[in-house]
Amino acid sequence: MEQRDTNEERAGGVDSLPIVDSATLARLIDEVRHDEVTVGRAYDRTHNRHNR
Amino acid sequence: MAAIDTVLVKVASRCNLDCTYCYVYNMGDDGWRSQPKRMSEATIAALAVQLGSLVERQGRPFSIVLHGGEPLLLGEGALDSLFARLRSSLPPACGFHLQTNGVLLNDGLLSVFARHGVGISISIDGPEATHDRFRLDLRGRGSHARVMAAIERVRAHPQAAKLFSGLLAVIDPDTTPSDVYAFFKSTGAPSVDFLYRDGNHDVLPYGKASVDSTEYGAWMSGLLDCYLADPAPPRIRVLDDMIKLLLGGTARKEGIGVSDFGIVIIETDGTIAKNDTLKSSAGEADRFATTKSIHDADLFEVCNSAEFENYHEAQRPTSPACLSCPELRVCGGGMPAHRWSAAAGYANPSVFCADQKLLIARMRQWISAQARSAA
Repeated sequence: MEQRDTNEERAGGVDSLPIVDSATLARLIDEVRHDEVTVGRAYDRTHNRHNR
Repeated sequence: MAAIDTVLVKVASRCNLDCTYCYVYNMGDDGWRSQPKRMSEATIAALAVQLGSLVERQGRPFSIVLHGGEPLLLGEGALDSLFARLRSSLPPACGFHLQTNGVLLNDGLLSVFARHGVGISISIDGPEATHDRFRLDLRGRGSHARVMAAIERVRAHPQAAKLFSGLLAVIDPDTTPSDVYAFFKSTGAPSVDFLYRDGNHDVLPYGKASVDSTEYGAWMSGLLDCYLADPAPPRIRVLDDMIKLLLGGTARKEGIGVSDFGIVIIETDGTIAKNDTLKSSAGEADRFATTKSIHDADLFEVCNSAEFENYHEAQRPTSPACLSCPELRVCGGGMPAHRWSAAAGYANPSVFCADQKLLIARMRQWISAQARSAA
């Protein structure tokens, strides 16, 4: 995969991206578009630190 | 005031495992020795009152996360009582969560957690050889088989979809990312999160040859490649959060991005403390100048104090290198504990700075390549 300056993504934001064929990237783009609040509940705070 | 979004409660100060990388027991802080083994009924009662007051006066809900030590050492009856007391003081918007090593998890405990709507996250580092290299019990035996049994027990529960939050792993950069990814996918967990090993500029994390080396960044890039190429992956939160920031969205993970993270710690005896991961940097760095306890101080006022505000501010990156870095919005400067050096305090980039830059660059490559392929 060749290196590319992608400041355009940050500048243009998610709406400037075409649909992608990675299932994960497509999901994340959709979540950013819709500010998916349910994700916050699924990814609860338990994941933030080491356990013993 | 720094709004509190996470109250981390150490309901048991001891652990039934002795993981060699543990920031509580094996990174130079012996504060746990002076703590009672388990949270008392009186402390639990005080906690319920204080949290009820905090949510009412703050006007915003927060999550309550049970930690330890190992929180299951509190026992089934006491955990049942604790959650009942807390729920009587807190609105449903305040979620209950628990991070466990899973070894003691049984059906009775699962019934308690299901009854109180507690989300369970289980710590496991990967396949047996990976996990048992560091996550040993007090006799030096590996714990992998017992943790896998716990995962199966949760997955088999009728309310598994609500109970099972996911798995939490600590990275061993000596492993092969594709092997570790395949293992986690095989567990059927809904989400997985990966943590870097603790360390700082004075005590380098395990596996890092130098501050400028990129063992963790290379490992995470390998994991990213597996993740983004998989048509049916579990969620990997640290990667999700960083990619979402690159896409212009927001993140919720501590140490990622520049949004504030309001965490307060309640120790087993009721002592109020700062971010407990600071234990791995300077000695007693998680302590307030004078000891404050939920038994004799007002938690809301402590969280509104100048010292708490200073602690909260100190979590934000301050090094010139971070403040001028084009990746700061995604990286966030990393965990404060990972920025530490005796010479400069927390005014350093993360000891994982080079790793994060490598990973972010790989994410940008993926986003660009995928966009081109669809064009």
